[in-house]
Amino acid sequence: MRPIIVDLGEFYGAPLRTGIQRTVCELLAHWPQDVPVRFARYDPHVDGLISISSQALAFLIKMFGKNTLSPAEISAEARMMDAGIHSAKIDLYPEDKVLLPELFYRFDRVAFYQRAIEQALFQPYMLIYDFVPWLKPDLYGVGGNMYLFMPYLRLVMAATKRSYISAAVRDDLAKQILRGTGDVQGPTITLGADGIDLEPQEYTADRRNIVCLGTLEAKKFQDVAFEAFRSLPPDPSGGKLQFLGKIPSFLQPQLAQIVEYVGADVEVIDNPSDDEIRGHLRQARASLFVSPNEGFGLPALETLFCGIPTVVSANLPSVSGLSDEGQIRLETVDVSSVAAALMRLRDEREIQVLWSAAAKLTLPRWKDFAISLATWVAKN
Amino acid sequence: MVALADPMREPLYAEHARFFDEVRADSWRTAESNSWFLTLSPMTHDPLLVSGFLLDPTIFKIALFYDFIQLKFPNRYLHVTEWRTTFMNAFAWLEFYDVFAAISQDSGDDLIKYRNIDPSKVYVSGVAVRRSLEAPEGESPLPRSERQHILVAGGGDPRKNPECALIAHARTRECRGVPIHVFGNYPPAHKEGLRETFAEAGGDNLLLFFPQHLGDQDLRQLYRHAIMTIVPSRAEGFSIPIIESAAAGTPVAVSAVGAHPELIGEPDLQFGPDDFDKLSQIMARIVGDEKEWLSRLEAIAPLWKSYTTEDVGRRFMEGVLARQRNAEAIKAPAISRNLRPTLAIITPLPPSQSGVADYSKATLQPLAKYADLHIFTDSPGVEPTPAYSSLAPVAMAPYSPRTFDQRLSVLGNSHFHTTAFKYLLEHGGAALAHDARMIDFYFHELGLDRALQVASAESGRPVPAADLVHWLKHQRDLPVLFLSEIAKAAEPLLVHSGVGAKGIEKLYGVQPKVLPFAQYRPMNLEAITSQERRRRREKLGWTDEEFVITSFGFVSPDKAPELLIWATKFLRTWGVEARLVLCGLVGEDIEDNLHKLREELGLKDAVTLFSGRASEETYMDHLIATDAAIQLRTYFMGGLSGALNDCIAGAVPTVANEHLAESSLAPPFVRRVSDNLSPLLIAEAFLDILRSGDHLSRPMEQARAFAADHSLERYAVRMMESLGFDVAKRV
Repeated sequence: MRPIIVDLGEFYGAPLRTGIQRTVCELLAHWPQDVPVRFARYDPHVDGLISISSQALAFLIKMFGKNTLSPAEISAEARMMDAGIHSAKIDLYPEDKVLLPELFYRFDRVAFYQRAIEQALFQPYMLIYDFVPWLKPDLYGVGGNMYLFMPYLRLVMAATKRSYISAAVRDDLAKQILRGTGDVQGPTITLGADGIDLEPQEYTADRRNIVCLGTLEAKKFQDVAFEAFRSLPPDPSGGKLQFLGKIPSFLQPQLAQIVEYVGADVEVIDNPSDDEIRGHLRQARASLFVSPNEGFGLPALETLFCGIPTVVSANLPSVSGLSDEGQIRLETVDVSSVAAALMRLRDEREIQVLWSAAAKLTLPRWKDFAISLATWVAKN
Repeated sequence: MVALADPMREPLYAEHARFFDEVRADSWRTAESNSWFLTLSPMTHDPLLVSGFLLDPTIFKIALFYDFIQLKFPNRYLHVTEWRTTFMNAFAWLEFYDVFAAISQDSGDDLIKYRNIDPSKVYVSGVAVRRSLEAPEGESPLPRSERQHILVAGGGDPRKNPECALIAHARTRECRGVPIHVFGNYPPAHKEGLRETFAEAGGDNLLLFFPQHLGDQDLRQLYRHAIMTIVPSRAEGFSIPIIESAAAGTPVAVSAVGAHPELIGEPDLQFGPDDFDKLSQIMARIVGDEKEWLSRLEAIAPLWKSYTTEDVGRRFMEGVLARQRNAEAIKAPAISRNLRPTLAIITPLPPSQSGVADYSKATLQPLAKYADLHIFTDSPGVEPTPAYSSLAPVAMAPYSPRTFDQRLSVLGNSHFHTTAFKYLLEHGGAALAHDARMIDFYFHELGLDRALQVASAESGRPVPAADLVHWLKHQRDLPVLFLSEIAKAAEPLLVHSGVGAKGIEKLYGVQPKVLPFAQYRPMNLEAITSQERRRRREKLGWTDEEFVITSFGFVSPDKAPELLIWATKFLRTWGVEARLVLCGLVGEDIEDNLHKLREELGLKDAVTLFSGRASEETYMDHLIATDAAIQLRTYFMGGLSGALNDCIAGAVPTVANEHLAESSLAPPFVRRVSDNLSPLLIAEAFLDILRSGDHLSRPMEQARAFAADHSLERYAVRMMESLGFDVAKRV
């Protein structure tokens, strides 16, 4: 069996610890040993794929989730490791399978795969995360730059081998993008919920903080969470609302109020390391992930996996298909509904019920994800 | 009191600005009838800038008058043609003043004699000595024993004639050992020349001094410690050193020229400008004889008291008031007498290839119903029409002998508006800003330096060239509008977009008047029948099956043409036989990219790109024949689209982004898409049009209602009201 080639261009060139890159990292860490694989990256100089050394890969995986080096430094270090190794362009044949677990917009890289599909040079296998930039551009603030994202969408439409992280994403492709003009067949491969690597948590009454995981961005409705929290009477026990995530260089105005807030009851931890995240979750009473605009919504699932109840939007793909145990699901996400949920979390009886229920959930693991994805590619 | 400052010069100093209730830079008259207009130096400043005041018979015009020294020394002051022209221009405009406050009888006489001014208009106010040079209360002149030098009133102008005093000093025995100070700003070469003259006459250069850059206190002490002051000038309208010397308690000897005899009447203190011997005798008496000196001191001591600020001011006002009673009291001009207003319109016009030119032509026609329109344009080959009372180049606007009730500069973000822009900044008046931003105009027409200067002023920080270049390419990122100078100069400022007006108010603190854009292309909706649409489709080679989407106007990156091509791709993928037509000249900077994208997406036969500007006929064919239209803008400054206007006028089912649609007050049949443009969502909007059937039977009623509210007639009324004219009273 020819090895599956996995193109890790973004992970290699700009390890920014995005949600997608977390998925890629988990895939690498849990790749089934019985499925031959070769890791590579697109190189525009050769307009093709070249190998990534196992040494560089191990380094990238090791550094992911740590803040000791910047993304640029990590990438530079990986390149240094590969510099001494002769990496010729990988010859690709029609029977070769190349897995694309990333989202990328580079025109030349997209064109490389577009050509592969049109000329049957080899077979790309795509993992599709979501279509939010094209279907809900306001949430991304793409401005006039949408033309940069279009070639990738065209590639997705042309692809014959697609897998999806949720049924909702497949539905978007079917109903709004292809509209019955193409086949959307392909498996839904659920992302793993065990990425935080935190021991199962148990409830104690001194857990007071509400944690919001994720980069600060308008689509995640963190401003709604902030305003809802601020609308409530102060928690007598001093419970805080904590935002754990990267603060982007350009912050939309509605989120700037969160960063600029000087009260002690709201905290923003910028670009926390995985250790820091684990530390805060060990004190969390519940998590809040109310974004109604997610392709998946991994943080909600991850906190549930640790046994921590969560407040979510009812249409969050990551919890669809699950029972609602351990969750407060909001049909509409606005300041009043989030505030009501927060008040419920303050109730001792209710919070204990939620913790009990969360502990009963059986949630997918990254190992399962990696096996499913690798097997799909290998067998299709 | 309103100060009118020349915008091309330095701003008024704070110490002067404090005298006024308001300081303005526009020369356009907004004074009420029977106001006073005062010129402080009618022979110095360009009278054309204030011709509006001078030509208004209802305004009382006063001038301070100094002298006609140029006429007395033409070889020195009028030997250059430009100087002569400038002088004669100012000389001619003196005719329009009602009263002259001359600084001396001599200068007043010259005004009457040389300019034939009615003597009843002329009186003498004099010149005041500065308070800082007045003698403090109770101060006595210094005794003769404490005075050491002779002081000469000099200056860089050769007519000041210090040589006479130097030669006389050298020849006067009583002046041996007495220092001589010549004040005035002398360059080193000139000082050397005077030293040579002094030495040749027998003077000792160790006694010759040139005090310079004297503050008032130093100057006063220089006078106070002088034995005498000599004013040897060849011509003077007044001679303030005489009064300053008197205020310091120092005798003065003067050349017998101009106003000097009015101030120093004693013949034995006067000398001819070249009469060194007479001056030597005067100096010998005053320097050598203490009694003589004291007698001259006592005689001159009271002189300055008639030239204090209060006295000169009082004489000035009394002279003006006495003559104002004689001025003709004329009623308010045309407006109050319910006559047609007279407007000066500065605008490009066809055949200039500009949307604004077309718009101006269309909107001026109905405007002529309410006002006399005098057009100033630099567009070559403009055809006169009955709507234009006159037609002249913009350069003539400041010099028009007509009195305009208002002037309107029509401005846009292109080279067509350069002269109108300059006119507005120099002369003020109303302005109609067609474009929501002026960055291209500043950069391409006024240059990088000016663009950076304005950008920095508006941003409140130094703006580097790299930022400007970025903004030129990505106008969506513009933090400022480059409208500050226009906003400051215009009164009032008119804009077409309420959204744009809010932006201007927020940035510049100026509240523009909003004039909803008129539908200026006549569209006979009755003629847009199914048969006519089919006929035009056949003419354009479109099949019945095709769903044609047209975007009108110049094709530029800020109209997102690439995204339109992608949207067409989606529609065709979904089974719609979509055709996209970009009905306008394609910008050179994107032409290659559009061709390439069209090719890459396999849309060569489905996307039509024009190689030149669409003719009017072609434009109308597309407007009538198309199934739908799309107009987008990627920048959000409240800018409008003439093309969107046309689509609305033609009841074409149209897609526009939210900001553009709201700025244009578009009716509901213009479907809005997010300002964050997505070809998918744009394509969905067209699907919606297809499903609704609007492309088959256009929304005529909505279009008619919109047309009625945005007619040219309605626009003309709104324009007149915006300019301050109550049309209703006249209709």
